[in-house]
Amino acid sequence: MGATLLERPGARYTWLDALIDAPEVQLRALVNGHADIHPLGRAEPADAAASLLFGLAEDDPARCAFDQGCAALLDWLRGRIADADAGLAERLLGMLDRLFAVIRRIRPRDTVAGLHERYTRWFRLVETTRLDDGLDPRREFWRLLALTQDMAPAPLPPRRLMPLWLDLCAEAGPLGRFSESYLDVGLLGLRRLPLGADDNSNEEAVCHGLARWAAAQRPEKAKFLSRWREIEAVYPRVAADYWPPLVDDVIAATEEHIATLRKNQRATFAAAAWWREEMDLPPGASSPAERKAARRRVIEPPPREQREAILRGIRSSLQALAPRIDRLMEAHRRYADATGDSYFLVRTACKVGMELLPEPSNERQARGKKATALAKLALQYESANIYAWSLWGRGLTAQGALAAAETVGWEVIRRFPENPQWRNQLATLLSEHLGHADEAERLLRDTVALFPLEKAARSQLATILADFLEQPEAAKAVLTEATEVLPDDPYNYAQLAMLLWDRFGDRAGAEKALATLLRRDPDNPVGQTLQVRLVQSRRLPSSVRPRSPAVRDQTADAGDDPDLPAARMRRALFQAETALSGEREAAVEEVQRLLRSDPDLAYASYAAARVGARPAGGHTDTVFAFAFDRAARKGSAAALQALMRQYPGIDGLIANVGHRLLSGAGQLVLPRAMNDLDPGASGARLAALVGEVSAALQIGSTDRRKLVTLVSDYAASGLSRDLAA
Amino acid sequence: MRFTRSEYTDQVVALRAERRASRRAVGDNFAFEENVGGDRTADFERFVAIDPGLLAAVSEYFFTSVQGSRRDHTPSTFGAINAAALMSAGIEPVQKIVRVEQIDGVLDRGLDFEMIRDACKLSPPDASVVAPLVRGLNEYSGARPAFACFRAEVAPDLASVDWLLRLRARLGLGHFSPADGQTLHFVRMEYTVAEVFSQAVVAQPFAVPTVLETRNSEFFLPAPAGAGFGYTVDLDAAAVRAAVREFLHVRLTYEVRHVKQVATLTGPLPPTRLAEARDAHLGRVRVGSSRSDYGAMMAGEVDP
Repeated sequence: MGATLLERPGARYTWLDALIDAPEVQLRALVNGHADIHPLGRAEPADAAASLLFGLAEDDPARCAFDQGCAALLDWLRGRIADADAGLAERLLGMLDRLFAVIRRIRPRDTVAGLHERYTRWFRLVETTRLDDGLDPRREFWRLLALTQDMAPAPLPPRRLMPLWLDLCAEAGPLGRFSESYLDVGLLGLRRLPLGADDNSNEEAVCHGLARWAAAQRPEKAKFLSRWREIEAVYPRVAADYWPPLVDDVIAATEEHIATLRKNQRATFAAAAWWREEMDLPPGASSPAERKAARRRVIEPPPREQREAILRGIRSSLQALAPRIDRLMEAHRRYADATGDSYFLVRTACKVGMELLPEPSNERQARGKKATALAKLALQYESANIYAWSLWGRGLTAQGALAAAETVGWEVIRRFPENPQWRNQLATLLSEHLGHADEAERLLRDTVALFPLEKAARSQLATILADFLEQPEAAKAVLTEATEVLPDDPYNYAQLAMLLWDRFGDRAGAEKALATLLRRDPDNPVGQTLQVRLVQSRRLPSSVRPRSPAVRDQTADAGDDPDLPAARMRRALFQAETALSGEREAAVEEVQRLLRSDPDLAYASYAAARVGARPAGGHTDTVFAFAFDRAARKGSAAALQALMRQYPGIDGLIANVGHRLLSGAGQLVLPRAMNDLDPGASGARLAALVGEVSAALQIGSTDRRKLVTLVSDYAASGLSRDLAA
Repeated sequence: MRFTRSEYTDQVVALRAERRASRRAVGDNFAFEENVGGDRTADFERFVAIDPGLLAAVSEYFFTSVQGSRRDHTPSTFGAINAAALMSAGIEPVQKIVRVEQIDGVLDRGLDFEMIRDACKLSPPDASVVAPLVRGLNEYSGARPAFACFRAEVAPDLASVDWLLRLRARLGLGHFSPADGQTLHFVRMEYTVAEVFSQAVVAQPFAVPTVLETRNSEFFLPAPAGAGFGYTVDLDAAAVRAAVREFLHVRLTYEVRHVKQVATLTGPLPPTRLAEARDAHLGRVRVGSSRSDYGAMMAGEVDP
């Protein structure tokens, strides 16, 4: 009794017997600091655990009990955090944080394997648990995974988390979704990627992580170089010529990526110059030949010509193309997995996929399926790539998986609310393929309200009203307003003229519209052609567009129903917020039903709160998206101003945007992010949002509170994004 | 410390009746404690713990009220509610403070101790190696008050090769107890009183430790009221040396320059005779405070 190490050296702690008897109870006592473990009672739980278990064999019953206790305590916490009030939730989050530290130290095999295997389940728990840089179970969950990638059970691909680590690096900072503390986790994850037979170490992947961070977050020189030197310190290399060519390759790949985003204008990032200087590299990019001569790579990306050859023959039969595409993408995957350079893979997948569509009609479904597969491959490596998302939706549409395409469409709107084109694309799908013209109308009216200077939405709305819903008067009103709001857009006048003549027989009205067009743009060819036809008393082209032939929804056949639970909630939220008064109750009930079916989904909780179907008071109250929504729904500029002080980084900027909208105070603040950043990056997206909001405010009748909901959409766009890994 | 909740009083009595020195010590500490005023006792007694019992409540109160969840939390330690234990704000700012941190939890995050040790030998230390350690220390949750002492009182020990073993004994850090063959890793941090004041948002950022900050530690013995400081229990009962003054201060955000030296402890360490160590310390406290009636000896009443 009372046997302790200090009193009887070599003695086994008696607490271990209590642990075997009641694993969960004793783990909770350990984590909460009151286990009877003299002399270790005041030690940190993880430190105490290390000493308690030191020297025990892997199959010792105490180790097995410890493993069981950790898993059981995780489940216990998971069951309680969601329903706890804010005060209790904070205490439970502290327990979770300490438990993660224990698991990280001891690495109980089955518990760790379970965290990897059931990633989505555990991520849903931790997603909304961050309080600050000190208490951030989400970050610690990822750190734990980073350190235990070699313990992930088969058949999980060993390097499957690489895209996650690269994303953490890119988004770790004031212009990103995460605090800078996540950079350590991202780089650690890259360092600890399991090595394949052909891999020596991961420093190239680590350098790609650093480059992504530097390009996206724009650190000062001293900070960048200190981070670089930390990496050098953990990869000591004797040969003086080891680092420079590797760094040269990484910088070149990053610059090429940025140049692609800027439509092949030469582009770089500030840290590139510092890094080259540090490596005694010549300033400016070296040529591919120079880099190849300087460095003997273990693996090279596939030659560009392989891709070009496929693109040249893209109209060949898919039967001939598909094996070549598969070989090319497999080679890109091997290269990306080995080096961390996923740019080639993503660009190629998107390019080839886009070029596969449009297609010969006899191969439509097969090509659509192939394009879908390429999109999903690209999204595995860059989950925020907007081109890949667009390709996925188009691929599903082409293969006839219309319900699936709609799901993807709602998810894209949810993730990228600042870009109106996704709404227009979804409206096309709804009206032309799914027969939901009324929903498309509602979506486009909402789009026009949020993006009043968006040209395509008004035109598309008018088309749907006239051609699908047989409401030419309403279409006329939309186009008339369009010519007032967007007087320099010639298409509105032309479309109005055709509508007036075709549906109303109003020749005078058509003439007037065309005359206005040609007064503003005398050389406009469409206006000139239409005017000539009118003068010659010839019919104008019908404004009615031919309908696409009805296609049976192939979603069930395709087996390709996207696993995007938040998309359905986005649609339900839209329905609830745009419902006519008699329909709102049913729409809100649908939101509640979806929440009941998926209570752990952060976006579901957010959407339910937004429509008043979920009370405040839980631990999610302090999650920025939830806090912003509450302040926005109150219409409180003061509350938003308080959020500006409370939340650092990009969240503070978002709150600033909301505050200025509601208070009407001064010019909207733009972040430092340039438009040449990856358009999927948080900073670039915020710049786009601010641009759209600023444009909307030019219209005097714009409803500022309506615009605040768009900002709220943006704030929530990061929820439930990282569910797959 | 006098509880009004009978179950807490009963548990103190039960602990003080135990034969195990470690458990008796915890009970004694509650009985001896004079620096927890009525307001703070009431605050503690109102706290609802997740797990039952006095010891669970003390530990959870520590994590909730003392440490807190957020970095900007103000520990109850430094609030008006703890006026009885707050130290004067007139402490001389130009004097150095020493604190020992166990860093195994930070090393766990992919850092290498040998590299850090080599980096610390340089002047100034190699920041590329030390900065990640400091970042890790600064990422601990909440605003846990820091136990520390004045460098002047331990300077001779710091000059020794086995400075860590000496500090462990003199500062009563008995919870730093590696198993046989296990190595634990530590860093010594040094900074000034002035730096604590500069980072503090409370008027009195120093406090005397009480049972509500020491998480049921058997290696702690409360100081009498009015002592002005805490005093560490020397783990070496036979050592004839003055007790070191200990105190709590608000959590400090570290910088690389605060890192002075790293060292290890490998088990087994010399055994601590807890009852003797506590009784020896109590004897010194009684003499120093002229309180011959303070506390109670335990030798003879517990298992050796």
